Amino acid sequence: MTDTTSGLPPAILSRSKRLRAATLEHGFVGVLVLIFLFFALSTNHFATIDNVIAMLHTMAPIMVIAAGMAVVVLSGKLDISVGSVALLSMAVGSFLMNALHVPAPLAFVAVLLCGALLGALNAIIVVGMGINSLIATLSTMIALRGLGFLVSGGNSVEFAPAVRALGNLTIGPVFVDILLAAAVVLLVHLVHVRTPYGRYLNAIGNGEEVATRIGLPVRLVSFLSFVISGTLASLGGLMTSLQVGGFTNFLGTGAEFTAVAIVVVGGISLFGGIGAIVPGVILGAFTFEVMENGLNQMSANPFAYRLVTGIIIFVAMYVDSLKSGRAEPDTA
Amino acid sequence: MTTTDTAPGITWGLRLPPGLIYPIVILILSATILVGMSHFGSTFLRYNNLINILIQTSSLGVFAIGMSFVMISGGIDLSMPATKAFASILGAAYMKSGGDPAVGLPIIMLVATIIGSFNGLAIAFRGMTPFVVTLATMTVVSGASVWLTNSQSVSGLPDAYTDFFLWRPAGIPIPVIMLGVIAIAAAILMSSTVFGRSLRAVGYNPKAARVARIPVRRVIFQSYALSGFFAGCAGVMLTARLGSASANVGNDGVVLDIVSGCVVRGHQHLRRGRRSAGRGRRRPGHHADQQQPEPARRVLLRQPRREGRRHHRLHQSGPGRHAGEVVSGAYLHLKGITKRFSGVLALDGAELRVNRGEVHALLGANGAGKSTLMNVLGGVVMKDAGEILIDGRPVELKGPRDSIANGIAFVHQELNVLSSMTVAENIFIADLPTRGPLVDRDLMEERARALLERVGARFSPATRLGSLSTGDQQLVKIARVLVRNPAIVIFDEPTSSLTSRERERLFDIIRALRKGGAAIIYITHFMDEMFQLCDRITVMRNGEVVGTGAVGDYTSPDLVWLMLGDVEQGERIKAPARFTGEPFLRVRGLNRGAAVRNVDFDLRPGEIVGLWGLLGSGRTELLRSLVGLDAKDSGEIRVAVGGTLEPVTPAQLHRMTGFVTEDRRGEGLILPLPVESNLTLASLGRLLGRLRLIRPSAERSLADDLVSRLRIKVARLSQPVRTLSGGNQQKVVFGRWLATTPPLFLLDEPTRGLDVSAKTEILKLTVQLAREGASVLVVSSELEELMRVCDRYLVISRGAIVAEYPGDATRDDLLDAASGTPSTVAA
Repeated sequence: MTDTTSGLPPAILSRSKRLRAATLEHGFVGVLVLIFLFFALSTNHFATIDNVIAMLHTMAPIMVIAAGMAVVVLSGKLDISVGSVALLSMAVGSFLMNALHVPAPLAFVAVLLCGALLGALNAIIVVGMGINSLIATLSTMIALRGLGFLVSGGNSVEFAPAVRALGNLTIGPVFVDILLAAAVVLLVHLVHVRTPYGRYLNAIGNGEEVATRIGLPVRLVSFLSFVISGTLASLGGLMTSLQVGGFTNFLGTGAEFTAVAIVVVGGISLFGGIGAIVPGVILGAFTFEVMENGLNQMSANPFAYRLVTGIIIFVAMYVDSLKSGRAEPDTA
Repeated sequence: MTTTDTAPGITWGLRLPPGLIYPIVILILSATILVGMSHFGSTFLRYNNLINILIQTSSLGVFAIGMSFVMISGGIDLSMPATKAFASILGAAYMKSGGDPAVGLPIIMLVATIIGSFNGLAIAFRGMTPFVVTLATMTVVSGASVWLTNSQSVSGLPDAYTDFFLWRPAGIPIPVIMLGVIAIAAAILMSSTVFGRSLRAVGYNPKAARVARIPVRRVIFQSYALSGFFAGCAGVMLTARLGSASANVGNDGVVLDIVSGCVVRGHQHLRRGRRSAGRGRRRPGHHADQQQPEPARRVLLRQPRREGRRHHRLHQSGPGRHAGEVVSGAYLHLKGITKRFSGVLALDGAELRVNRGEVHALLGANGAGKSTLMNVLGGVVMKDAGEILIDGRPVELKGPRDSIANGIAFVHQELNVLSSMTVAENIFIADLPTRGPLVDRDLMEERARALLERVGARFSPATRLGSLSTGDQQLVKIARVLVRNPAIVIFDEPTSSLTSRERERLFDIIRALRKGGAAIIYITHFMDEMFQLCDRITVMRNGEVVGTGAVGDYTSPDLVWLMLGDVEQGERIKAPARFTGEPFLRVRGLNRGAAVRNVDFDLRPGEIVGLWGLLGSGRTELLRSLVGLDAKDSGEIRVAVGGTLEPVTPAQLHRMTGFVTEDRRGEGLILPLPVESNLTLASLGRLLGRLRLIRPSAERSLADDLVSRLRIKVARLSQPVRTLSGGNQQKVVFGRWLATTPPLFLLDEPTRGLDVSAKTEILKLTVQLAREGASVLVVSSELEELMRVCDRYLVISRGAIVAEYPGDATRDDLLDAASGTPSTVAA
């Protein structure tokens, strides 16, 4: 009964307000361009094709994981178990390959299946049991990492040479995993924007109760979102492992935070229903990669990167709060 | 009244809040087991080993305490370990360079508190998500730590510092003593300080906390500052134990262990917090019952004279032809529907028959059960008993989807819209046209355009919904219904946000639906709409159907009588008086959007003024903007202070006001908390003793006093207020303000949902308050209630005060004035 005045037509907004909105909407791209230019001008190697390709190569796995995370975030939930899902799936995969000598393609399929299953496990806890998604995936995050160590026995595993070669496979100058990541992100974007499933997802992000009343299959859609997130997390884990040529126990450590950060920096609101995977996830991932790579090239203290990362997340967060007008008094 | 009952777990006279104790216990236990197992062997149970385990756990315990504060408020702080490490590094570096530990230790705590405060600022005052804010802080702070130290540890601390922490007075190491002291202090803080009580209230229900004058944002801010402070304490302890500080000590893993430690017990708080942000899971039935009382709110009794005549004319010429047809083969038949909400009977064998090709009005007064009945039909609420027949065939409606599948469309009263999506998507979301696997957007927009034209909307289907006005959003909701050619359509007060042109358009649509053979149920408060549009009527009262028939069989007075039952005009509790003295409150030119427009009025001490208006007239908004619960756009509020009228801010006025909200359960009370805490919540400041701690005896005697003064029926003071009856709950709300002896009461629907005797008691209490000198402004949608106590009436319509009547005004005067047709006999 109180909000009868909100939602003025856009024409009423003054020009300065529109300017402000436009700045908030697109300002981040401008900042990214400036940062890129800065690194390009202050180092010799940064703006070369080789380096850009190297950057895309490095960011490909986390971009895939972030795309899965974005699906869950768009529905207004969180999945912070992605790093552990990646670890456990890959632990299973490398066990299959090295101990049981399962052919690599079959093992890869098993990795993805494992990711999907673990995603379904999250979904059962969140959707089936009605537990807050942060809490649920926090607990699976801890449990699955432990399980991963159990499977791997705490050992690192080096892949067979033929498998290792896959990680650096190129078509022309471009790494295959860049193309794979691009394809995945585009596909997920298409699913979000153009399919009924994606629209349901967005509707749930607008308000789960509203979506239920409209008659959308809320539980099924939420369930699948976790399965997608789990599958993409395991794919990301697979891509990382192939890049480094083996399985390590550090796989996926901190990936959940990086993925959330990418999603937030990419303009996808944690409140759900707002934002787009393309260009959001690509811009977000690229931002962090540019910072890391650029600082590296400048031979800055390698530890400075983390500091800068945090500041970027903060700025993006602040912009998000300005956009959604959450700074108004006690909207909670 | 037996009030000696004490909460379980009391050990030394303090009530230990479970939110704090459990995480610590669990943490210590699990750490003991873990550390113990890794040392497993003959040494496990040896004294020294236990002590070592305790020492190792102690900084974690302090940590968990800090995290608990944040989690009780409904938040999370991921940055604590990083904060701890960073602060320790700064402190250690200072001490290493020859600084005095007596300065170094405060540095660690100060730095950590500053970082925590920063989180608090962003979260409490900028409304950012705790998860991401503290994630960002964690990254920044840990980045700074590794950068500063190059990932090396800072060692070589002064011996005086490390030695102190090795000291074991009476065989107990200092860290363990510190943990004990801090745990006790935290428990006292939670149970016996204004902050602790406020924090708990905020965690349970931030809205209600705000109404109870708790500075919600400040409390949330403080909880993060505290978590920073405790991170600092843990840093001091850990640095001393290790003799060094390093960036990697507080790695990311620890925080999650801590959170999970807290979560084992505290996750309800987190859920609550999420819910308050509008995203939690809700129990549909219960919630629906509380959040949408509007349909059952009140009937607009436009008085019969003119309307009556028009209805006769209409009736003879038009839709009345359908009236009175045989209904035995009704298309929709709700049979003996019964529903209880937590034991309270909301529907008692309700019957409803609706034919195809008829518009069926569903009428009923406050709490009659109309909305519950419609929610059963819409699949939103599950019935306990009864049967739903459509076309003679029984159907089970287990959710909105079943309902839709059976051809039922429901235009809910509240705005059920997806604001970040386009108009076309909003209309077609449940029926997206596809081409292959993709949504066919062109087709969708084309069809949406046609539907929008039908409802008379002039905006493009590609418009983002959130940018539309409320009325336009309402049109989108109506267009959504037209997508499927539903056989049964429920309109729940569809016209309240429409202009008269849009309303006429809606009536045309409804008539077209009727012509197409739909069975239409129409809930409204407006009698004229009903006579203009509807063919048959069903009237509900107290969850039962009390009358049904053709529109032509009833006159307005008949319907009023049916809706209200044989409610006699309750006896006046107090004869109206005229007050002429100086006002206590003077309001001039108050505005808030379109809801409150240029409102002027005065209130005198001892005077009870009724603010009479229809639902949506702006009465609630006026009350809320007076005390700053909604921000006013402009206007001046003055209050009598020592003979002169001084201007005050809404927040200042709030501090001298007893505010009773219309949403007792959602905003009035903190339901899970005991009666005692609810009663004393607003007056804790007066109960402080030594060290600014709440004196349990003073609190108890205040609560006892209020319980007996208001004759609140409770078994014991520690009983959760949730378990009380509605009337007793409302007394608790009053009691809370009574204890603060405010000079002003703003009462929004104080008697809503109460039985007759409870109503009378509350009204008597209101009169009592005025006799004691308070000014009272009371809103009620039940005119009869107002007419039992008021000295004067202000009539509000469309946000403006349109008339003022003395206390002896007649019912007709007031009804006419409120319906926007000022009577010529107005005083």
